[in-house]
Amino acid sequence: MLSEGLRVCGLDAKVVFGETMARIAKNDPLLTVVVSDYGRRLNLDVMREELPSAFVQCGIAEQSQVEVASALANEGFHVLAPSYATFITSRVLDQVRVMLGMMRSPVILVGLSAGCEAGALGASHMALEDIACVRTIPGVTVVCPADNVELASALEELAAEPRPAYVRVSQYATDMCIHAQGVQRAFGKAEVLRGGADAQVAILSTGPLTGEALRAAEHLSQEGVETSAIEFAVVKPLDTEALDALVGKRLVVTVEDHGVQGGFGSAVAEYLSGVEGAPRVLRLGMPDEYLDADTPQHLLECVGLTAEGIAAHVKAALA
Amino acid sequence: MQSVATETRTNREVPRKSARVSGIDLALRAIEVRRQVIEFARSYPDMPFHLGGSLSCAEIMAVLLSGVMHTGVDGTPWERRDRLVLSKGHASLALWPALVQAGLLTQEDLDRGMLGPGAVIGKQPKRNVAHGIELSGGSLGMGLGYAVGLALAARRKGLASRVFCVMGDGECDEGSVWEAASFAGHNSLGSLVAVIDANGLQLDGPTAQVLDSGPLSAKFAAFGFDVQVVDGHDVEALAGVLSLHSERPLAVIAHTVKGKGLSFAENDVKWHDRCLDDDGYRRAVAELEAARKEVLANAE
Repeated sequence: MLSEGLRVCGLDAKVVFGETMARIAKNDPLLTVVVSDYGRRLNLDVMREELPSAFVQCGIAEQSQVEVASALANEGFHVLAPSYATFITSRVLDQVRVMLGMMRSPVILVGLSAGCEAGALGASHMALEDIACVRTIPGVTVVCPADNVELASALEELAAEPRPAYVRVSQYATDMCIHAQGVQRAFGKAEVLRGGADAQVAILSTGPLTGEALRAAEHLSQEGVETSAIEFAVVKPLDTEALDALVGKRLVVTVEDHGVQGGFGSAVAEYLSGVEGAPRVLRLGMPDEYLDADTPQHLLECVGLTAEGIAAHVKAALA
Repeated sequence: MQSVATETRTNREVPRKSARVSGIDLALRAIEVRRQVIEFARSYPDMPFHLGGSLSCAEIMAVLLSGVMHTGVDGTPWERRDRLVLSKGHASLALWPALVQAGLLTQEDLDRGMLGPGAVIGKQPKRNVAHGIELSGGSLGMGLGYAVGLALAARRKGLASRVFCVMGDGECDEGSVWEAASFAGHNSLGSLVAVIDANGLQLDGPTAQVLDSGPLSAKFAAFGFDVQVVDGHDVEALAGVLSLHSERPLAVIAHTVKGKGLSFAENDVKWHDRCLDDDGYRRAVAELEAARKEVLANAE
């Protein structure tokens, strides 16, 4: 299990997507992957061999992609619709509203190269508003896996029980393989990666910066600021029980590779604003501006979304 | 369910249902659709309804649901039924009576009104497959892509179901229409029929002035469709072209009159959406009754 987990974590997430589709296709003749000219990179050859009709090509036409995917899903197929994260969310937001929101079409949108992953291409290809867009649509599940093992697990879970969903995929060179031993907790539940009850500070994270958040919590604890790290792979519906348990903390910190407005941190802050005695929330994420093209690592370093940066933000907030 | 290769084609002969519903009957049903459109407006006198575009497609709706489509409640197995996607959701006032005529809705469904959680019908459709309502809302330009997906699903399941998508000519301003048309042509979705209610007007004025859609027939042909141009108020002609099918998707450009049947509303952009006052209601009832008598007189 461990070696398999490490192998999967070491792959490109797009390769893992294809491996997962191939595995599902062996047992599920209803599997369907609707693409918009982003199929070649998704390692779908084995799936297509197993189930030729599962592959639907729409061309560079994401509106059509969501409409076609929704109709297929409502006719009983188990449908995933992958594309660049920003194009499968903000570009087609009205289709997502009508088809996944109002009509509850059980389509699994998969947003690739989210966050800063496409940083070298610049702001047009970086998805920093996608969580904000999609989580405003009623009834759409939003998942941001921390690593490839969790990505595969989420895709299998959703394909087995399709529902309106958005799976956000981003990946960086310094990612930690959090789930090398497999995903143990139930889908939708927050996962405490570092305890515990006596921590003054809790760092909550979603997506691949979870490794940085965990390292930051370790640094801070070593320096005498006892800090816990909790991963929320599912941003919507939010595990509010896990948030209720944070009452009494000195500080709650949220970490994500998404804009600070409207994303995971906003969801946490929205919920805690209604909780009696809730702690202060420090939201860490991408700033409210479009940054110039740069390497993902440099972008994350510039805004302090590394373990050291997160720890520094926390210390400043506590000072 | 086992998947069916997308290459599979069935050369099917779908019998025209109008063999059972006569042209006279279809014409009377279209007038009844208009009559009910007026009654909806009468029931909510303070609510502006999209009367112009509902009245223009009365024949299209009546002919599709009573004359052409296999509805699933007419002896066709439900899974094998033809699907109707009303993309120009604003014209739902014409859809409801046509669904009643086809036996997919009841008068009781209409009597529940158009507002609130108990309503089955509304100013815009809400997906309810058991009643033949495939698509929610009237956000323009989404219906053809959805219909394409339905046609693809039928192909993969090996079903001979046809999928009809009713759109407006103004709606064809939307780029998503052409994304879907591209897909349909490229994939030779022969079970797909795009019906364009070409009434020549949209909210801001004549379609030719707002954004000239040019010859829609040439555009759809360029996207790989067979194209039929027809008088959208001629029920026999409509029934004829809507029953045609080949290996390619079909676009039926139905030339219609916005506000058809109400002399004071015809071809007048003000009636895109408007409240119907008492005087308008009385005139409309009288004009539709005269139209009904004319159809009956011509039948004799």
